[in-house]
Amino acid sequence: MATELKKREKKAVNHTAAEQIDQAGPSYSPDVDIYASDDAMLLVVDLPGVKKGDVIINLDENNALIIKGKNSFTAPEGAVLSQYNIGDYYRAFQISNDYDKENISATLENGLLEINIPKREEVKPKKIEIKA
Amino acid sequence: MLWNIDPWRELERMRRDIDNIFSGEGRVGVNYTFPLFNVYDGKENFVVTAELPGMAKDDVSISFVEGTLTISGTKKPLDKVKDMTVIRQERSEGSFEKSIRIPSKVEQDKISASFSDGILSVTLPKAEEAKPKTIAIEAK
Repeated sequence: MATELKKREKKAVNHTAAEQIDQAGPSYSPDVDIYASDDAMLLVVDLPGVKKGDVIINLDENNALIIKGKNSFTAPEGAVLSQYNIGDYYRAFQISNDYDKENISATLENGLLEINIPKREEVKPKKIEIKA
Repeated sequence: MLWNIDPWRELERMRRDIDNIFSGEGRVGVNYTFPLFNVYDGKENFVVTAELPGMAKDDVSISFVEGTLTISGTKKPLDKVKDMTVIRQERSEGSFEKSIRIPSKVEQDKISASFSDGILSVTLPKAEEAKPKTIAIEAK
C-alpha cells in the first residue's frame, strides 16, 4: 500500500537538471484518490493547469514516489474572489516492496494524472483451481 | 494591549462566518462547495475560472440569466476503478450546480468559455457603460 510520507524531506531527491521545476511560487498538495486491485494500485491525482510533459514522477532509492507538477495556468488580472490557490504541485507517497517499481506507468489528460503501479508477480494472489 | 480585541465581537464574527458557510451566502454571494471559483475583475472582462480536472468541455454547461452565471455538470468516477477498492478519496466528484452574480453589466452575446488542462474559464465582456473611465483633470 502507499502511505503518505509524513514529512516532506527538506533535502528531497537529487534533482537532475531536467527534473527542476521552476519554484517561483508556492507549491500545493494536490487531491489524490488511491484505488487497489489484486494486481495493481492506481493513484489518481488532480493536477489542473498542468500540461503533458510538465509533470515529473520520481521513485527514489527509499521507495518514495514523488509527484511534481508545474502549473501553466496564468491568472488574469484583478482577482476579486480566490477560492482556490494557483501554484505548482508536490506530493509524495511511500510505496511498499510488494509493488513492481520497474513497471510504473502514468497518463495525464485534462489535468488528471493517473499512475498505475503493478504488483510484483510473486505477491499477486493465485487462484487455485479445484479439480473435479 | 491584550484585550484590545473584543472577544464577544470576535465570537459573533466567527458565528456569522460559520453561518455563511452553511447558508451558502458567503461575502461575495458564492458558496465554498465544489467546484471552487476564482473571479477576476479586469478592465474589459470579468473572468470566472473553476478547477475541474478530468473533465472536458462536453461535461459542463454554462448559462447566464439576469446577471447570474451558472455552471453545472457531473464529474463522473473513472470507469476503471469500479471494481477496485478505495484506499483514499480526496477528490470531489458528483453533480454540481453553482451560480455567481456578476456585479456589472456584461455583453451577454459575447460571453465565451474555454477549457484547458482541467481549468474552465468563462470570459464575460463588460458592457461599455460598466468599463472604468478615466476622468481627466483640466488644468486651469
